[in-house]
Amino acid sequence: MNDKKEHNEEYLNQKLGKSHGFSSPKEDYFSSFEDNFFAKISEENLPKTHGFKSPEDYFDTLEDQIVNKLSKPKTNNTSKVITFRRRVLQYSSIAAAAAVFLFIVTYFYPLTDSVEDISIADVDEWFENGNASSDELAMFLTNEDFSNEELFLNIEDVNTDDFIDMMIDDSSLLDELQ
Amino acid sequence: MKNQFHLTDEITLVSQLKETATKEVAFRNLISQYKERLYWHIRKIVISHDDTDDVLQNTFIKVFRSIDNFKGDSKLYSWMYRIATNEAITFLNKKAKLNNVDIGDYKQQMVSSLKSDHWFSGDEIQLILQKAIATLPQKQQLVFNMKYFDDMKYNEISEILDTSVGALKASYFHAVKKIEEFIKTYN
Repeated sequence: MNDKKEHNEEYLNQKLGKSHGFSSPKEDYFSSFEDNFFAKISEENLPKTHGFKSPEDYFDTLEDQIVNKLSKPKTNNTSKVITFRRRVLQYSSIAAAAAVFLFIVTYFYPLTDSVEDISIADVDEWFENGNASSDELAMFLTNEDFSNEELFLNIEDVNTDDFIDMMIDDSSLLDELQ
Repeated sequence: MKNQFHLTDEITLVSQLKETATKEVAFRNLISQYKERLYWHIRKIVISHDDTDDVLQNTFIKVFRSIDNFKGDSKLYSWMYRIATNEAITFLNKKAKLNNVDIGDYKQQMVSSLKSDHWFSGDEIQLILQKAIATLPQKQQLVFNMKYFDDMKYNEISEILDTSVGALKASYFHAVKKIEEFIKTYN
């Protein structure tokens, strides 16, 4: 009997080896076994429900609510409220860009036409074209400007007769002289 | 997951959803099939009923409007769960930003006001459990809720969250461990 059993085992070993043919469902089954086991133990101490509830009849009308929402046309004419902060943020990038641009322009391309570079002829032409009134000139000129020797020298050079004639042409002055 | 459509029913439903003549009826069918499960899934993320209602309706509207883009690479319910999850987390992020707080802090604020929430009927231990969940990283919260409360299989969660089963198992284990520690040290 024993001889027969040994013979059978030998036969099976030869045919099948020691492998049972089963395999575990996932590669990580044994590596995560402890974690899964302890997670199960911990779960037993936790409540199985979350405690949230929904209003009664909430689910009864949900389909209608959603379908109604879908059937409403999308309106594009709703006016947006733009907060002050958002508006400031909108313009701040433009202001920053402008500041950088101005810095570059003034730093690399400084104004070549300084006051010294403008000729008297240019000023005369500009004045004669009616670009500035005498009131405007009075605003910028001070007493010191008139006490400048150069200015008086220039006046002496002017043909005073012509100057007086020009002034007399002005009817308002004539009225005063009369 | 219980009560989900069989594959043949799902294929039929999707083609009906894409067909103008059958779209509304099919869509009503889809809502009635998934409204409760998606509601509870969203509710556990955004906490309040009113916020859940907003997110749920937006989820279905998004499903309706983008059904033509559904290619059938994943199951319809996985696709809808993914949309619902994204909508809920986007919603939380917006709310947190409006309140100038981190999303985690915002969630903890929401949970701390649960005691006075009319639509929360949980007892002390359920409240502590929600507080414990709120301390977890967002992904661990999702995995814990889907596995623990919804009894979802890891391969289902994997399809929804686009994460490997191994990583989900590790997340779940860490979540349970942290929750247990939180409850033990509470008070």
